[in-house]
Amino acid sequence: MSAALNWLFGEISIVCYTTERGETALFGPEGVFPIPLLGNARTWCMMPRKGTKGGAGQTNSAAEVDERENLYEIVIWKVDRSTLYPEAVRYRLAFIRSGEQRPALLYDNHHPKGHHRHVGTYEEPYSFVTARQLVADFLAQATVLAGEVK
Amino acid sequence: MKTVTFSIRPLNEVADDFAKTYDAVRTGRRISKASRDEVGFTSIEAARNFLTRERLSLMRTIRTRHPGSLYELAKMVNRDFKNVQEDIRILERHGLVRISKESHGKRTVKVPQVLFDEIALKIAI
Repeated sequence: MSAALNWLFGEISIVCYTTERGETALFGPEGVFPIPLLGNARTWCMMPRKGTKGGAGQTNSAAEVDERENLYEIVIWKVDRSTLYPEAVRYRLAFIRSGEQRPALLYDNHHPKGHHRHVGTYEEPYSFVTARQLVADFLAQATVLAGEVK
Repeated sequence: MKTVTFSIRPLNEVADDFAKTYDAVRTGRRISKASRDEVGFTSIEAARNFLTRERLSLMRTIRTRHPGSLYELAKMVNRDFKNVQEDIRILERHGLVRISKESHGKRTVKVPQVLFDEIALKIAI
């Protein structure tokens, strides 16, 4: 998608590209958002991964496909330990229905919201206990959504 | 020869890895980097559903006959353009195919490329 941008700017967490329908979209930690094209979009879409914004030092990710071609994205970034990320962990747990781009379910902990989850367009805080509980809650909710015939 | 691995991993294993990695990062231990050339599937059925005869044929055709556009590819495999486009989109999403855009005068042509020569199946028992 953005090999050239990557080459030019190093690791970036949000990139801007044109979708098949010709609209400009952001691809970032929260998925793909269509955005209106304003001026030179490329310059303001770029957010460096390194630094205090919770930049990713190292990533560990798994993308799993189920029988119906739904996608489960499970990503952990090792970030600099700071007041923004006291645990030095940033994560993204996304369930994306087959053929869709925006997650139907998304758990993440980006600053300043902390642990929270998105169900469709609805968003709420998530009370984090352990990582094991977090991923179990995510999968329980995702498999219910996967079972629903849309 | 470049190989992509389809690994069959049930979701509870993925969850287990997540929890372990999370705690490793939190406590400052080293984490091993996940392989990039791997596509995960929740079951053998999931992998089988994904890798249809048509999609495999698309990848073969791209690798051996080098179509100059998606339209040319659709003609080579004698399939409807829209269906080919949809299959390519899915293959691209999982990193098996790359589309490079080339401009021919005023038109932009999407040239498909396969990134691997073979697919290996990995199943933990």
